[in-house]
Amino acid sequence: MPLTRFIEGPAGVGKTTYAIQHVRDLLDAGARGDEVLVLVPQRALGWPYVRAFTDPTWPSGTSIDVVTLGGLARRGLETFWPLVAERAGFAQPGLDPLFLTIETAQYFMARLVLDAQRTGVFDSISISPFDIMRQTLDNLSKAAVSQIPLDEVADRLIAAWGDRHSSRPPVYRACLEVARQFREHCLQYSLLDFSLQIEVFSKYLLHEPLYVRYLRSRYRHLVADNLDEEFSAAGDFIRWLLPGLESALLLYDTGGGLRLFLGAAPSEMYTLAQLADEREQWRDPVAASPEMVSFAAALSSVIAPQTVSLAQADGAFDRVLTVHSARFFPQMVDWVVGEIAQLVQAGVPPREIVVVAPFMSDSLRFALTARLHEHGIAAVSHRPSRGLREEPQARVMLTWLALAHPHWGIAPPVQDVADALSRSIAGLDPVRAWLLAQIVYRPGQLDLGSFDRIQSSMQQRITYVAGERYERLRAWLNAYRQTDSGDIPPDHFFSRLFGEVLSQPEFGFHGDAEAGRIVAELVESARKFRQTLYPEGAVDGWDDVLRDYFTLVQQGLLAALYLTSWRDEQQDAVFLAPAYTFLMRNRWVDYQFWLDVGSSTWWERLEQPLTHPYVLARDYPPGQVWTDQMEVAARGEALHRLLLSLVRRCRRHIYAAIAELGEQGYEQRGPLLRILQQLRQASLEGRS
Amino acid sequence: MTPNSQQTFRLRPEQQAIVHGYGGGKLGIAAVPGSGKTFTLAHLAARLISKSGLEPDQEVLVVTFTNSAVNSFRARIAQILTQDYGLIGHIGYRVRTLHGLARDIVHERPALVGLADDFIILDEKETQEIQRNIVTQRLAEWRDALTQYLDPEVDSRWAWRGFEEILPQLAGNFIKQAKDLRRTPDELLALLPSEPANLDLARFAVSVYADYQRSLAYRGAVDFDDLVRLALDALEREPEYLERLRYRWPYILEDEAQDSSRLQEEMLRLLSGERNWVRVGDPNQAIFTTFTTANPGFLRCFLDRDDVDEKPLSVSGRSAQPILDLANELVRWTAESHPVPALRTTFEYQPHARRGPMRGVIRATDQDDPDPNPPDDTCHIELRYRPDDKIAPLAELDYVISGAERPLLDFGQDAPQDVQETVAVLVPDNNRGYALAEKLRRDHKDVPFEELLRSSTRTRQSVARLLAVLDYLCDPGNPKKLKGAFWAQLSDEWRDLVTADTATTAALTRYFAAAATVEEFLWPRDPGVGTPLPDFAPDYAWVGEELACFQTGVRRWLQVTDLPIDQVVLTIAQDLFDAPADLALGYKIATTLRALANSYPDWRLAQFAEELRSINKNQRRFLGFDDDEVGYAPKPGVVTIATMHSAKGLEWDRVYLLAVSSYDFPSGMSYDRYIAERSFTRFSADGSMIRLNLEAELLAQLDYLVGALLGYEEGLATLEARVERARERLRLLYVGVTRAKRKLIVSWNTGRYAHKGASYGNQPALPLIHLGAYNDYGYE
Repeated sequence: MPLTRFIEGPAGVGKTTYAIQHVRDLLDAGARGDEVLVLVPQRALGWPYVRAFTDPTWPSGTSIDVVTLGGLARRGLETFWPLVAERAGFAQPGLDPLFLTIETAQYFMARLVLDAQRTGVFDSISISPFDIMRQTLDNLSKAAVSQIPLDEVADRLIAAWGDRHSSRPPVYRACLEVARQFREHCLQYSLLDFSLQIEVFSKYLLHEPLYVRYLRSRYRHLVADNLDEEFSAAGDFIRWLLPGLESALLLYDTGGGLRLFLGAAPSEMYTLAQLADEREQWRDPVAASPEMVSFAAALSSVIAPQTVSLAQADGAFDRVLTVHSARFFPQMVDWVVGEIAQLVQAGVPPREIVVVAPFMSDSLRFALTARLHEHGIAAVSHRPSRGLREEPQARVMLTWLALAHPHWGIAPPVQDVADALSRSIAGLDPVRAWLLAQIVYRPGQLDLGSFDRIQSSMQQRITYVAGERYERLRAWLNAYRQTDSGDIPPDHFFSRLFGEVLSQPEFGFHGDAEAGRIVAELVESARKFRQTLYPEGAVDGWDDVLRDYFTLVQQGLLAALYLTSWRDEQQDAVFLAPAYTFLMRNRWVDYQFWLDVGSSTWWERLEQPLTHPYVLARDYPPGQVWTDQMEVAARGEALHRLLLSLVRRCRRHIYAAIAELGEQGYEQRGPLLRILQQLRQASLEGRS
Repeated sequence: MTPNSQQTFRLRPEQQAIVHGYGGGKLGIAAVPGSGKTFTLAHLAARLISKSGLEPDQEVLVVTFTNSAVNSFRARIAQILTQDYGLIGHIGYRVRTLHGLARDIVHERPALVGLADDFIILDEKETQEIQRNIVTQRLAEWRDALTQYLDPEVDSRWAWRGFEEILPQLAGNFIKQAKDLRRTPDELLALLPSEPANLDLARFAVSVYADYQRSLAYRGAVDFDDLVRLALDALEREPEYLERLRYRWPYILEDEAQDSSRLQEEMLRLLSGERNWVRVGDPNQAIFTTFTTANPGFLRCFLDRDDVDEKPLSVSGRSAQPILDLANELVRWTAESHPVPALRTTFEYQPHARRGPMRGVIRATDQDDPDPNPPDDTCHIELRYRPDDKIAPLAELDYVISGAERPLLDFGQDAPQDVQETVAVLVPDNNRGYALAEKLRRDHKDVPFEELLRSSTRTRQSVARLLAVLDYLCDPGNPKKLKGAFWAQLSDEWRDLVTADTATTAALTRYFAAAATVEEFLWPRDPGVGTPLPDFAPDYAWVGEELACFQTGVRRWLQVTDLPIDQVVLTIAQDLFDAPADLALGYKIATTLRALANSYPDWRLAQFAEELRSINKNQRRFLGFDDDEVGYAPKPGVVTIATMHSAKGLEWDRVYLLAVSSYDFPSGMSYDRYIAERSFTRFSADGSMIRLNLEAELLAQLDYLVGALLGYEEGLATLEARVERARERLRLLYVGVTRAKRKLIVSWNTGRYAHKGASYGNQPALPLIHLGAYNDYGYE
């Protein structure tokens, strides 16, 4: 048995810093870097390690794995695929595995959901096919991470629903049926979504002697951080791994468990402490000021009075909390921006400021970023994904795709063609692009007109320089139509258009890094689309595939992924993010702005009709009805955890901003508002 | 009673009895116009908040009818809490419309009713569009069955076209009513018998309903009616949730309870647990009943219950005595002498109550009242009715503008004396209001007025400015639209300054004319040779700077047009607006259009501009933002043009009521015509020569399906709808009359078809004839 230490304590007591030093001590003691496994629940939670391990002061030549369970599973399956493919039920074991992202999993799921919806099985609920798809994938994932059989998902949901209304159980069963069909398709074509990765890894690979030998000989030391955010499956893995290790350091954040809604099992993970040779409880936060500690206590006294009484929380928090109320939403945004501007002017580095909200709409992100930009303050925002069609550069590529295939009968609007011209041709302003589009393009007409054939007065207005560039673009499209139309897959089309024309000098994407990044996303998305839906290649050329892809992007079903790295967020910029996203960065900042604290979304979990994070947790008693009382208790706990986690990651000051009328003009009466009011009242009474 | 006219601590005895006498339980209050019911209810709310020992997580729930009432209620409670009780003004209570409350309930537990957390609420325009599309798609298969409802004597193509136009509305009403009855399409399908054919309209409507619900589900959306239905479902499905909400809202105060629908009553009954529930309303002001689910009968039944304590609010200081007398006479005459007996129950009228207080009689204030009635000698009543008088619609407008003894010209610049009264022209429908506004705008520029026709003027002005810019961006090569955008982006004050100076206006016109090629104006090939700025007079030098800013702004806007629509709108709004309320409106428009973009991925700027245009034309109900929390406040000397419906809750010194004719105010007389009995529908099969009112017939078919009617006999519903319409319009007239404090001028017109022959001409409304006689001769 190795020496296993279990350290628990709230955020800010220095657990991660200690763990990094621990790794360094291991290396100093002679361990090789590749013998150390750092396991984290989410990629971003591993960034402090990655930062430390890539620091110039870190011993060179040491490559240390910082991975999630999913990452480890994927790596194992890539290497040892032939050992498990057949036993795990894949129909064509010879076919290489293709790992699906959420987006690519949705490509196929979309078809199944739409087919099921047409039969009317989902009529008793009012959610979009996109939501059905997302929640079905969620159920698959939760079953995998909790290690419960897929069939049990519907049983648990039905039992938790109780006898409320007879219309719901058939819907749960229909959802399960779609999940089963999806799973069958994956098994048929060696496609591995997240759930299947975890399942095949846990059920088969970890029982494959060759892999077991490999893993046990590879890793001698384990550091598992943020166990409170881990899934049951990760706990099983750690239990399995421990006996062969020389040392293990297990870290648990006592106020954590923020990812419960994603399937994290904090209480189950806590039982890992029983396996430890040594247990330590750390209490004193390194970074927090006494006032912040007082604020945390004050919050607890209101949310969970059984743990702390209001009398125990002194009024010191007044000094680290500013609450501001504005009537309208944009006024609140302006106030926040104004305060940030003052802080920056006073010398606070922007990266020491974070703006969080429970939910951050694209409109809000844009408004904040634009307003900060006006003050010359950079802002960086984490955005997991957004529809590809919302990227202007992607729309340009799609417009040319449609115009390159006129036989589809898809006629982009003139505005799209004008936008495409303006963005594609260097030096062509939007007005001249509009004029040119109106002359050379007629929706429904097969060809783009020639610049040479338009009136000379108009040529002059548009300018000959732009006209010449337009002609080159047009010639490329004509050549493609005559030689390659429908013969190459969408990713190839985009690569060629970008490489041969748009990235060339005198064209709009030349030297434009952002455009390059988006085109790369588009190419990647198109490639995955092709590989997922047409793993054996298209049957009759690529024309239909090209059109399908075009349609899905236009409908907003395909998203661009924003795989930000820790370097992006290291910039000296204000960080704008949903509160949970910020917390999953494990970062400390000097100043936090809590937006829209009147909104009830601070308290409400993302409640979905087809899935349930608590009911699908492994330790939830099967057969138990999920009651409103349980719901309220769970929300209260989640809010408590969220607020404490935020406070513990702030060094100096918290600004809470209220908009009396929310984004849509509704008056806000959320629980956080009430909590802050109670604190204010108590503070006033204390002073008097 | 105006919001600020009464000191918060001076309550009349009746008000006192409610505010300080209520200790819990069920209380019903029948309040006459101007008796200060909102004022009283706000005081009661404040007292309960401060004195009833609410826990920090408890609130007094106030439910009222309109969004503007929500704002004014909130502001009043906050004011009383701060001034009278020394408390923080905005905690301890929640004011909601029924739909707002339903939204809160559903939003907190969406999965209970099969919704995702980000469910969308579609507004009326969008639901109507969906319904219209479904009707169009379905029509071919139903054409044969539905033709039976058309008059075979009229041109069939014309008749079918008319029928096609109204079908979406019929289906929409049917769906609304079915939801109020909490019936799903599947349940109705199961109830539909295969015979007889006279239920074909219902069969058609059920099929549309089924498609419509599927279409909403596909969008992850609900409509307003679903919200209420689903909130009830949530409360019924989860008793613990209901208990939690009962704890959260130990007191429920309901304003405008006469407009309560079955579901509203159901929901508040559930939430209150029949414990502490105060309902205030005036059954005599129930003016939203035709083809809606509202019904004053619910309040009446409540008031009559033995376990309900009834307290009166019968004293009103709003109007001068002669106007009170006129309003009371309208009620008395209807109840006792209306020639159509069925209409005699229109008003709640108990001058000598069998139990408890009397209802339906407005009493004047006592002498020492803090807010007494205006003196009689300031009162003026002018009821324009003379036998054989025929007033054309335009002549009626001329009459109120200049022909009346107290004309609107009193408020023009050339008036002999400066009249600082508040004044309103109240019309039965928007179109009549637009006609008057247009005439004033064209012929009487010196008479200041503002329109209160659905959305607020301010909202419309802001939307118009945004629209002008979007219109240009949709057609960026168009110099006229560029000029339009320039004017739109000028602030109101600056625009007034520029238009006041003819030289500057002319210079600008010349300038934009010279800049015939927009591209050279914005992106000159040779940056040194742009269109030279005109020479403005020294006082107007800033116009040049404005032009330069505009140039920069337009360039920026043009470069973001291919971003998502919310970002385009936010960028423009930030440049256009300064006032917080306008910026909030811009923000809301941005998020609204963004939601539409998600539903309609192929939409581009042009389609979004069309949406904005429909908001601007009031086709889309759109909640604006207003800095003024107490709602609309009439300004002295400025004419308010409003519908009688939207005037509810307001008051003016002088009120004109227009178009009080038999068409807009039918009385069940043989010469009355009914808007809902269309000339292309056939006569009732019973030989009564009554054209079918298809809305009414369809709803009767629905009632029959769900068992609310024992049988369905064609034509009966049409007759009942006539009576119902006449009732509602009598109450509307009552509302109109009781808006006036000192002066009341009532007129009518013959309608635009009068020239086609006497049979088409409108008559003065029967109550106008009676009130005219009463006013002239005064009899009981």
